[in-house]
Amino acid sequence: MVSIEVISAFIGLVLTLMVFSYLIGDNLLFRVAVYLFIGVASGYAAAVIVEDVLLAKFQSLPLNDPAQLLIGLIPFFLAATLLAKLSPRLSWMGNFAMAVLVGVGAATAVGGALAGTLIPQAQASMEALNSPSLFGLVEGGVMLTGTILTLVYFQFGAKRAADGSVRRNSIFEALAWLGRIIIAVTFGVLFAGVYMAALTAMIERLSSMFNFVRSVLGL
Amino acid sequence: MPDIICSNCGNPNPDFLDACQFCQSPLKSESMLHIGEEPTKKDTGELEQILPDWLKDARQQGKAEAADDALQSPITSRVQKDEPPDLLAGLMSQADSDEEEIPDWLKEIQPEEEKGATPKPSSEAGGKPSDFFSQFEEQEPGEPTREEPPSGQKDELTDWFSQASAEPAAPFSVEETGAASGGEEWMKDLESFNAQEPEQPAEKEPEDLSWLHELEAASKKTEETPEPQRNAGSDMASSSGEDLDWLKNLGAAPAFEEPVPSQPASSEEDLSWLDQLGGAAEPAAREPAPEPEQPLFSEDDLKWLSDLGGTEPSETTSPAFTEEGAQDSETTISASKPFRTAPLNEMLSDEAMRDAAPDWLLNALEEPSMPAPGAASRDWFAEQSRAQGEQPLEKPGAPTQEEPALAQPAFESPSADSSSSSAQDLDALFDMEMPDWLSREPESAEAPSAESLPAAAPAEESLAPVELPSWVQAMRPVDSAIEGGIPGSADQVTEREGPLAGFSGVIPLAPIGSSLRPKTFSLKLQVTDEQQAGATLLEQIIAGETLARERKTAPVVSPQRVLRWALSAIFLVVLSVVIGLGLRIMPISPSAELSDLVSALPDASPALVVVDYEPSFAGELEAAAGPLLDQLALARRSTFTFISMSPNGSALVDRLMINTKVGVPLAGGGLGYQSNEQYFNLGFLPGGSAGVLGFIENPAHGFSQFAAVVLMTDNAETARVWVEQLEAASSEIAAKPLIVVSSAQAGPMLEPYVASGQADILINGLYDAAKYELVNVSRPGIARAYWDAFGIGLMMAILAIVFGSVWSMLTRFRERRAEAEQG
Repeated sequence: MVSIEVISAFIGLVLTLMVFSYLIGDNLLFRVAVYLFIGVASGYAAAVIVEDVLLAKFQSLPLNDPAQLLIGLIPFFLAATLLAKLSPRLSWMGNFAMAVLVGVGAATAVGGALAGTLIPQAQASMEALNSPSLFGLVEGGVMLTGTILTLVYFQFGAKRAADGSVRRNSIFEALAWLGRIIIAVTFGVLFAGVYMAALTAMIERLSSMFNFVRSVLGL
Repeated sequence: MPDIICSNCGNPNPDFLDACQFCQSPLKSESMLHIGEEPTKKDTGELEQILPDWLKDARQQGKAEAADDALQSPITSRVQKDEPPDLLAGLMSQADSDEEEIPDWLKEIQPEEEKGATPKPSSEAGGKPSDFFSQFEEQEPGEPTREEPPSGQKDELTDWFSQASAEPAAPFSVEETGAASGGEEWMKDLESFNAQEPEQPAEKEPEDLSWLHELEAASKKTEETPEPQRNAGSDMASSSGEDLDWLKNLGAAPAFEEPVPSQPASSEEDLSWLDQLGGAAEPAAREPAPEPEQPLFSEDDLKWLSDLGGTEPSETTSPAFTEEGAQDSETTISASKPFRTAPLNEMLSDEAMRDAAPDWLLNALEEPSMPAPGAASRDWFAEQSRAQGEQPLEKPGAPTQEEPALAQPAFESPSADSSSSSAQDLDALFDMEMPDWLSREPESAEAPSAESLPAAAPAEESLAPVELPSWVQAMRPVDSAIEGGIPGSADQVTEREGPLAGFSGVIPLAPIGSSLRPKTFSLKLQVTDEQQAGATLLEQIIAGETLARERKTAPVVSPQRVLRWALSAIFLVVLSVVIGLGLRIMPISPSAELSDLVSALPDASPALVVVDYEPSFAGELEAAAGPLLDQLALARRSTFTFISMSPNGSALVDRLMINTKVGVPLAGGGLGYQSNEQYFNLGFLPGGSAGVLGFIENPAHGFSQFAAVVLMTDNAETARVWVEQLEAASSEIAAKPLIVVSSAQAGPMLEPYVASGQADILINGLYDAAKYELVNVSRPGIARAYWDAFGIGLMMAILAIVFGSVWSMLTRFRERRAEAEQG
């Protein structure tokens, strides 16, 4: 008897081949696989939200405590008002809930950015130049130089020359050229990371296909 | 009749003309009041002293007999209701408004009621009228008897006139004025005359006031001439016997032997003026009176009327003047005769000026603006004289049925269907613009003043400047009315004829409105060649956008596609071979840093595992997190609590536990972790950063119990949210170990957080996982299984990049070389 694992593995194999068909070009198989993936993912997400959020919250309402019950119903009420956004005439009803969402989210993001990114990253940049080791100093120096060159590259101030042409200062022009190199290296690294991620996914797919074949063949 | 010899052409002209009828040169230009001349305020009351005696007597008599006459006519009150508005009363109101002094003689003419407590002057000579009007006064109204003039000069006109005086009858309205003076008595006759023609149309016509002036001249003449024949029963001849003289002359006019039923007066306006002087009631409201008689014509008028019966009057003759009163009447007429329009043909001969002139002015130039004084009436009389033989004369007092609409005694235009239609149009135009009283005012003002003028003065010198009342002068256009666009006074043209005679600068020499008219601009767009070229280019661009472009048919097999297929095939084949063969030839340098961290964690410590990646990255992240989860489960026996910020994340937990073999039973070679026992899936965490913060700070979730936080993500933003919220929560939470397992594409973006110490360890993709797995005794082995294929795939990519770069350089080098060879 074929187990569910074998069926799911087979389906996975077929869908993988359908996606690989994109190497030939845009075709029906690839689109079917993509649409199927998007549909399944969306349906699963909706089911998860209803089950893990709405039903879970509703089931957790303290029915014996009216005060807590009233407080617990507030999120449902605000969620219902957000549905009013579907109607232009009733969209005003969802303004309050939307304001709460945006305001709370913005405040949280700003607070987290200050405490978790700006201040710590600024301190780390300064401490990089305070490294006792030579490597640390070099590393900090490279980081500082790269930052400065990148900022200079985005400095577009220029003056009009005698011949009428508009050029940046020669020093800034040279620094900007170096900053462009830093930016190119950064993008290269990011592209390499994307390639490695995609390569890993491809290897995983090829490996799963071989494993399915081996399991089917009993090898 | 005196003639004026034109100084320009030498031709004789009638003295009533202002401009030569041959050369149109001015004959008496000094008599005009020019624009720019300061008008002298004239007190018309001064003219009372120069009133003729007959008018003074008539006024006094009228005052004395006003009360008696009011009692004699019982129907006066009825007629008074229908009394038409006195135009001179309006004149007085105008004068009052202008605070102009009203002459005494004019005040005395006013009705008694208006005078109020003004004492009624007694009539001279024992209350008897001394003038010839007394003869009418003695006749009882309504007597149809016709008095025969005692003189042997009885003629038809005399009979008619006598009849007119004898048949005032019912329409007499002496009582209307309350106290009609003796001077108004004769006007009552005129009213009766007017009332006899109720059907006459009220059309206004150019006034022929010459007969009125002739009356004045005749009255003056009577002072010198012997007393003419007296009327029976009338003692008026003692003082104004000369009136009978001209009445005698009236009889010489054969054209007025019988009263004509519908015959209009020669000067309709004169009669109306007289009606108003006498305070006459509205003629239309009166009973049918005896057939109208001819109005009181001066002997000169009658003389030219007499000529009508004989010869046709010519243009060069003046029928309205006697030789006796030539000097006086000349002066009077020069100031009071109707104006004629100036010879605008000369001024507007220029095409430009003609174009700028209004239509009405051009139309007016087509015909003489106004016939010669008396011409219209002469024409009318001529027609009437011709019609006399054809139309049966009606009895006096019988209204004509042919003309039932003659409601006013105003002078009907005798040439309604005549050839002078254009002149009438212009006259009508000016009649509309100039009220009757305005055109009549100079007459009334000048008539008595003519007597005071030196009779022996030459013709030119006797033409005294027009003395207009102040209110007329105020209405006169002045130079300041046209600013800027009017030339100087030297360039102004003085109108010599027409209603505008005496006014200078009224019609500007320049085209009318030229100075005020805005400058005209061409509607044609003025563009330069450059602008035209730009517009053409824009049109071409717009037109090009609307054209359908041909679809580029790409070849089925392009070099790029072949290259892509080739590279894909190479990669698939190579990687498949490597994976299929299970090669493990690629070296790995172990990294013990993460292993040391995990070893430092307490045993059986729970760990929070955040699954925030998409299913497409499941293969990479499962391989990257495999060694970590295996060490935690195998070495520390940690329990895992999974949570995800993505709805799909919860579905990846079970797959993760299976693929990492942590959730695989022990019999299957796994660690035997089971859901809800060794690992817990909390599912989806909504709310983004706020949800994360709420999850961290909510004591119910027991976040503090977690010994470590494992963050599995393929997105740097998601990792940043967790890092920031953990850092912002509290120092205790921030001190917990944070292990980040990221995809290779997000690893570089998360390196700063590791460098700053906010994240303890970063497992960046398969590369770090393979090193860590090597330290973890190659468990679970996923990373190592992918490592060779991963390494070969990287090298193939590097080779492809290098090969492509070299190929591109060679291609470019060959192109430059070919270009160099081609020169």
